[in-house]
Amino acid sequence: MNRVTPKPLPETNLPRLNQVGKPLRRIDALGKAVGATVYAADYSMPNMLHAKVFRSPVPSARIVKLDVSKARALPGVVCVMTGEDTHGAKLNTDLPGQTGRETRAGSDAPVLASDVVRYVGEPIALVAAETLAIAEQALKQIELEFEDLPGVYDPIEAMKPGAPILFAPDNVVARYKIRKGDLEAGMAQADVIVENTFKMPFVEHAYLEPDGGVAWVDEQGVINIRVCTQVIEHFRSIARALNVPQNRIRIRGTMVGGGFGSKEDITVEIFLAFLARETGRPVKLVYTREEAFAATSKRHPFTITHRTGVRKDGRITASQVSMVADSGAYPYLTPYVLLYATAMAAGPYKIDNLHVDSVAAATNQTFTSAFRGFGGPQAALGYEQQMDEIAKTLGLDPLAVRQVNYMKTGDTTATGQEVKTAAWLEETATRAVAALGEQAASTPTRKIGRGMASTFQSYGRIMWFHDTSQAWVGMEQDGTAVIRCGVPDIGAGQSNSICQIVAEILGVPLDQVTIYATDSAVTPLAGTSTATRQLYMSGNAVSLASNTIRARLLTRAAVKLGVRGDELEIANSRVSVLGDESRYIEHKDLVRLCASEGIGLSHLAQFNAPFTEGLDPETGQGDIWPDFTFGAQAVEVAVDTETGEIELLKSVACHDVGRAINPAAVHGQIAGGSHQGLGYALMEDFELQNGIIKTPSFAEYLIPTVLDFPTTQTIILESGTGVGPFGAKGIGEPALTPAAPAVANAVADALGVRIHQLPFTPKRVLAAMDAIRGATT
Amino acid sequence: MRYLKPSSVSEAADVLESSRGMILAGGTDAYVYMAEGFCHPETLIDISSIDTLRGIYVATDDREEEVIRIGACTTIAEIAASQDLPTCLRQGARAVGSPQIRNLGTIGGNVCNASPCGDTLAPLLCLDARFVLRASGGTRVIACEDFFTGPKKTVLKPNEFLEFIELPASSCGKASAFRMIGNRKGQAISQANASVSLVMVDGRMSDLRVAVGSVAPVPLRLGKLEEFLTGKRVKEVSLAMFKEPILEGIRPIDDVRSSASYRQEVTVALVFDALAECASKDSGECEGAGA
Amino acid sequence: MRIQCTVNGKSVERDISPDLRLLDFIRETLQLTGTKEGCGEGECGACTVLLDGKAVNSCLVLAMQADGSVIITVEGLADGQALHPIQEAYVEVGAVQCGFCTPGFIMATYALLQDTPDPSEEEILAGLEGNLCRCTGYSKILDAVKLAARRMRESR
Repeated sequence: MNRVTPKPLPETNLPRLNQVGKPLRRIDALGKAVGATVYAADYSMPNMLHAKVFRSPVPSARIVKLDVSKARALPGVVCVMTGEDTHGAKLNTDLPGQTGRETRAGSDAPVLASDVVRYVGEPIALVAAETLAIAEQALKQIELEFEDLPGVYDPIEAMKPGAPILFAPDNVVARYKIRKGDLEAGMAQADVIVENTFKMPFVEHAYLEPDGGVAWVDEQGVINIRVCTQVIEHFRSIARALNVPQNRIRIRGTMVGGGFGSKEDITVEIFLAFLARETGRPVKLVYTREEAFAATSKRHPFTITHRTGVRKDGRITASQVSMVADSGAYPYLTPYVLLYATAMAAGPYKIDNLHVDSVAAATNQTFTSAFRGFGGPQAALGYEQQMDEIAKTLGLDPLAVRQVNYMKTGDTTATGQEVKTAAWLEETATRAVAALGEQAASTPTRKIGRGMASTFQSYGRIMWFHDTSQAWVGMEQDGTAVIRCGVPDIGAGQSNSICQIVAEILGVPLDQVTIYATDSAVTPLAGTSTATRQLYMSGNAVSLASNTIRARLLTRAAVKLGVRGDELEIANSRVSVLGDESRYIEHKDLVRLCASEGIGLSHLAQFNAPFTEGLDPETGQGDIWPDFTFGAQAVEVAVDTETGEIELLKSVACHDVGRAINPAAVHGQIAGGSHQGLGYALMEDFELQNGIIKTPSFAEYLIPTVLDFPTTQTIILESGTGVGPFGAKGIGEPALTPAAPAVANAVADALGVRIHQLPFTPKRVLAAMDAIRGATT
Repeated sequence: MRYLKPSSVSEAADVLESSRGMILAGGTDAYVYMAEGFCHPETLIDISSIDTLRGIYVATDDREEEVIRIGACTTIAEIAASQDLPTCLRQGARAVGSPQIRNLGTIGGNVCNASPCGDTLAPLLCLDARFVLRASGGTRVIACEDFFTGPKKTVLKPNEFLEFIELPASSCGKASAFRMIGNRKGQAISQANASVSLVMVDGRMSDLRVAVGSVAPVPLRLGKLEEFLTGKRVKEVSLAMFKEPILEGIRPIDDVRSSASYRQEVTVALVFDALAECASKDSGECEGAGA
Repeated sequence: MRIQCTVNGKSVERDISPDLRLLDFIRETLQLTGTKEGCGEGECGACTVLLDGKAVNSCLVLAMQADGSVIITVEGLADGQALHPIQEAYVEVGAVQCGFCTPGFIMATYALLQDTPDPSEEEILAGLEGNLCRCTGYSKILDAVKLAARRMRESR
């Protein structure tokens, strides 16, 4: 890549704030650092039982006989449940969390399989016993006879006539198309047509905290489930499966030890609910690491083909993209992941003539569902590798080709949605590339390469879900603030950001704000901690609630201090006259004053995202998301030509986050997202062979250790244009997206040839080099 | 399950004889096997706190020769940090697991577990190590190259355990090096590893030992390569020249960590690298135990 | 079987089953749940504690093996309300995200700085090799270790 200088930033006008924008100590950090935070598995109750799940050892079979009598007879076993005991209950796995609107793909997974099993790890029976050891022993006493059925292990094979059917009628779980402009006319204007196919593997989330929880039935008959989850609104699906009223299931979320999308699906909570109801006793279930790998979702493998028409100057005249995704054994969130990938397939580029065709099919493999980026990372691996191949074909600089095509504010995405906020693609890309500095020199056995990627990623949910978030904010008589908001904190600082916003608006120090979160019964429902939506949705909801209280405080203080409301400032737990610090009233006095006069100082607010009604099914045109985050990553690698090992030398990520509520947390999100993306490119591969998991634990499934990559340098830009509080955009998922394609492009740059399949293992590198040598001799 | 903690080697040998239990040292492999259901010992015999099984010192062996003796329960961390041991063995120990694993795991465990990818195996082989095996009836000594019989298989009888590892005192005078290629940098498990020891005499390689691991059911000496290289100057040899003698000697397999073809290719590079490091040093740099 | 050991400065004695892991002894028997289980096979480091001064995976040790030993867990670092400088540094720089790996990292850092008060970059990386984190990209964790090392040296 050529040397670049950072593009100057447009003028922004960000207000100066007291607490928002500062790297304050996170409210959740202390408890975690001293070991006091009570995670799901840390919780126990008197008289508690321990549960285990009996799972399928095979990927495709008919259950001939399931005999649990010996397990039931084992002393200390209190309960064994099979599909018969759950009355064939099913989980609507494809219903994404809350909202009154159900957009169902129409597929349910049985809570316990009783007829056929479709993947290794599919649950078949539940055991609850006095001790964990007895429960484990009972599993070994369950007798399963099965008859192997033909399986299918590739989505393309799954769609062929005669393939075993997992999902009637043809295994196709979802299919989309986008038709924008005139593809053939666009291709006709092209000087060159570039075509490439890219493949990506299954990927495991590898959160550190295995799924777990404790459930019990309380004195009202409500089934309480204390569980690590990204979605407390699953209480509704659980109520449906148990056939109880929705107000009889309560989910008490815990601090989540990492989710990354995996804890967006129902995991242990459905089993716990059945067992607690059945036994009337508290029950604990914690997955082993192997179980957490086998029994939860993966990132979708994709095969993506790009056929792009370009002019000699790099301008894209037409683009045709096809995508095939593997849904695994059950749909789960596949229809939505595929939609995301489809709508982002063409990247952050202005492309007037575009066709996208995508399909996802079921196979007898671990099911795939949400994973940080939700189809966006796979799409980016398609469009960003293709951009570099276009540059190579035309002999142009990769960044230059992108600069010709970058979308700008006011341009439309693949689905025709107008980008209304800042689209800082050049601003982020030039900074990431410039920060790489001088390039290392190649030697005969150590080839240096550089690559970059520019990506965009939505934040906030699909708008036809009619997404909402509620938050309650109140002030206590001593001037401290309380928030009640059903936001699950999955470690990204969700609750801290919300507290920092309230602290700013109410003018109280962060340590005087307390949040009660993630309880489906007592905290107002705030929706899922998914889709990079909590800062946007719940951040806006707490802003609404606390601004209402702030207005009441200022109105009353203005009268007390004898000035107009706009002559006051609110900070440090007091309201004071602007420019005259001697005239003030402290919060505690103001609150008492308001209380004595009947002025309420609590407020429940609801924030509604924009509501739309879906895409045109024929053209795929329409608005999908509230907004987008734009960012870039640039990396430098060294490839050892003798061993095929790739060493990452430098990594820089730059994102426009709109406004950083807590910059330390934002840096952490970007650096962490980057590492997940780097692992995706270079080592992570959840391998299955004929449906059997070859990487069942951390010993085989490798994620980056501290030694593997240098830390990613993070550059935060703040356009202040986002639709979140204080102009914030979302960064959770966008942080991951550009890392893997940047590495892919760097490796291709170093080798002079592209490896079309992730991850870039030493073996694949050597094979690619052998292919070059073969071609040149 | 019974847990026994004998306080001496002879007590351990007697307990093992009578119970035929499983010897437990650091436990880093034992627990994983138990958790995964590979073994269900009725009796665990914990030898990790027997003092005489720990430490590195100079001794005289059964042939009245001076040796460096390593107690079987010496931890991998102690091996890695020892100034009294040849470089290749320290490098191999450093390549095992993580700091936490190295603090628990023992050299005896690494040897007796006999995993083809054990990182101290090739170094011990190229240092002409001998193993002192203990049973209630007495001890026997066996050469490293005769000890391993297959993946996780050794000549150890159910009533025997490893007491000491002995290296010739001369091994400290040799230049040696270990190289491995893992599947990642941290906590790496070898896809292939190589260990070389030699003495440079007038710029020529002599007393050469080349051993490789993770590329056959057991660690292997590459005799043909040793023969080919002996007497040569390092500058005279190239990577391409010894590809054949290496590939002839090894029998790698495909598994989830790697493929046979990749293992073949990198073994050549690893041996070459290790050789180059040895040749850059005139002599061994370890102090020699107790010296 | 009877086990006697010192945990976080206090002598404890319990009757336990011989197959109890040290991790379960700490979490279940002693109810010190700050130590986490992430994998149960020594790969992730979340269960790291100090056993006689050395960092170990408590999931790979039988409790009985710790008979007579001195054990320190994450709960044993703070001095009353005052955080240990390592904990202080992790909190201050933002090295704590989901927090599940944090106790293990803090204990690994403790072992590292005890043996190597002024560690090089390489020594820090080697000291933390056995701990996996999926949230932070390790960046702020490395900052925290460096900050803690500096403060601990200065206060010595």
